[in-house]
Amino acid sequence: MSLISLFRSTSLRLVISNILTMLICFVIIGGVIFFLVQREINIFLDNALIETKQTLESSYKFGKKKALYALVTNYIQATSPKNKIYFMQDHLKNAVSGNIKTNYNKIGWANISPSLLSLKHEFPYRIYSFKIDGIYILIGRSREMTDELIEIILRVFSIGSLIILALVLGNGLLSAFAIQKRLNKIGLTLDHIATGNLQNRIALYGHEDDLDQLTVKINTTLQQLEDLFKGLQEVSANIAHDLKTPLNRLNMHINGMMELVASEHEASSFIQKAQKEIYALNETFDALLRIAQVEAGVRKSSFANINLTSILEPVIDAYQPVFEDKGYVLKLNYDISQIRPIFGDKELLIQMFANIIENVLRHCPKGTGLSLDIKQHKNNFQVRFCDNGAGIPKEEHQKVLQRLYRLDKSRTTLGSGLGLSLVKAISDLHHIPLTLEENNPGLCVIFNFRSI
Amino acid sequence: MNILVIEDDIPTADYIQKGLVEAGHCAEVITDGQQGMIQAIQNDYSIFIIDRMLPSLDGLSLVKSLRAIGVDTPVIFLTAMGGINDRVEGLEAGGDDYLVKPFAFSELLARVNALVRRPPLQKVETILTVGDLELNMVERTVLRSGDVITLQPREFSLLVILMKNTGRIITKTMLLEQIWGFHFDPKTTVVETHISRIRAKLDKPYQTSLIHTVRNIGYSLHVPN
Repeated sequence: MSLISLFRSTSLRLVISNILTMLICFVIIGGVIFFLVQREINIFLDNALIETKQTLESSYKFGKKKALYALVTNYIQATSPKNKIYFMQDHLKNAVSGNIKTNYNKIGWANISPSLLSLKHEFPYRIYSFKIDGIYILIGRSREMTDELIEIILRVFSIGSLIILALVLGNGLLSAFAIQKRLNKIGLTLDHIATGNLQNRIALYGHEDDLDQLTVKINTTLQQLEDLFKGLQEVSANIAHDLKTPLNRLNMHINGMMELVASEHEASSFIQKAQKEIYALNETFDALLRIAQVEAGVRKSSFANINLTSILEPVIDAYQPVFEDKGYVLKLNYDISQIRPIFGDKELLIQMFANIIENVLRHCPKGTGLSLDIKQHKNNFQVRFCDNGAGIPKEEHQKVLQRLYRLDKSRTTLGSGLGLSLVKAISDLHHIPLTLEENNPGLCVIFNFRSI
Repeated sequence: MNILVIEDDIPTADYIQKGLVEAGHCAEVITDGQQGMIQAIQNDYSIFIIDRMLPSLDGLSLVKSLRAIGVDTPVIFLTAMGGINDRVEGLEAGGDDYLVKPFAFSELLARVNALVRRPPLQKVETILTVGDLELNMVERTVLRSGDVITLQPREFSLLVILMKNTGRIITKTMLLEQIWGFHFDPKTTVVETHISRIRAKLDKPYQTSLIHTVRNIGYSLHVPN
């Protein structure tokens, strides 16, 4: 079963990007609100203090110290230090009036902590201190209400934003999961089909939305594929039957002739040659059919987890003595621990490797050496067959993998030219990239395996 | 041996029948699938040779039905369908062997003999003896005239097959399939090379040769007469 990883889900990514955008927007808006409100509140506070100062100044103008003192006393009585503070000091630094005690003596605007005012409150005070004719006056307002106001605004805004985000996220996740389920179902069905069960179709959801429309299109394509495939199989079976029946009879008649002719008779050698040709004809035909079937993925449904050792080992065991007897050299440069399990068809892979080895025996002169190396690279490993024979020119590398292609110089040697194309068909079926490299001298055939 | 041949191509059927009769067997030919099924159920045969593409009931379904009703007689499929999946399908349907046309009759005969050799419920032999050659399956040792012969694992397996089928011809194709799992024909002399290696160890140092080559067909192990 293969699930499309949730993190690759388009709908989930959409939801997450929406959430992030909203989050950024909320943060920006929140910041702007905070800034603007803060500023307005500050202006409001300061304006109130300025107004108070102006009132104090005009009262001094009209009634001098006595009026000023009376006004400040009035103010103090009308309020509490928790709210508004007043402080007056004469030019000799004696405290004359006020509802706080302080050593603060700067001039101007400030936000100061209550401890500097000998007060036991939490909130800072916005103060304005100035001199009227040598008298030091400090007035101030607690920031309690304003700060709390700002806090409430921010809190409401944050909670609101979080609720909105949570709702959007929740809804988004639900939608994403629902869509993901449908996509997974489609993916699973396609996987199942890819293993060779072309008759499967993807179920429709019934919502007639874009996914359903896509499903319909995919199903139509699958139907066409299935029809083509059935057609191919029928044609193959018919060809097999129609061509091979006469071939089979020809073979029987030749065998019959063989039995009637003494082996010393000169006709006997002709009959044997005829038998060989029939054999070769049959071989070529079977190989072509086999390649077509491999390419059509007929074998995919019988794939299993296999150990590469169980494939390489019989092939090497079979051919090593042959190499020795014929004067070729087979070298093995790998150890078993390098080999990892892979997913595939044992029979086909054995034939694939056998073909490579046979090619050396068939196309390279006596004395040629073939070395089998396995190179590991993280989770992948390369199986390399390198010979030091005549090699294949780089320009021909693509062509030799085609069916029935033979290099000019090898036209006279035996073989049908199908060996490497079957190799390619099998490696393609297994999704094992196959590359050819010049070995200078010689040729390297390289299989790039990905272990499971 | 009583053999039933279900094959709709007359010349092929005649060819097979003739060959089997010459080899000393009794061969009956049926050209229709349904008829063949009836015949197979009603009478006793040592082996069935069945073509896959038959009129009225194809070979695969025929064998599946036979197996379903408990007919255990060995079956060799004969067919032009030599595709990579066809052999597996044939074996999965209950066939015991699978031969692709065109084939040499000697190949068919060798396989028929090999299949019929096995009577059911036979005690598993641990020691095989042919002449002065002795093979111990459990200890995996080989002795000839008392001398220990060292064989490679596959050489040993090859010898086991030959010895279990003493006197019968085993074809190269059969050996390739059973020893190395090769379901294709190598263009090179894989089997010949391994046989010659075994011969060098087993036959050459001794007066009589036990392994015999049957030209163009295969090999047989027996005491020469």
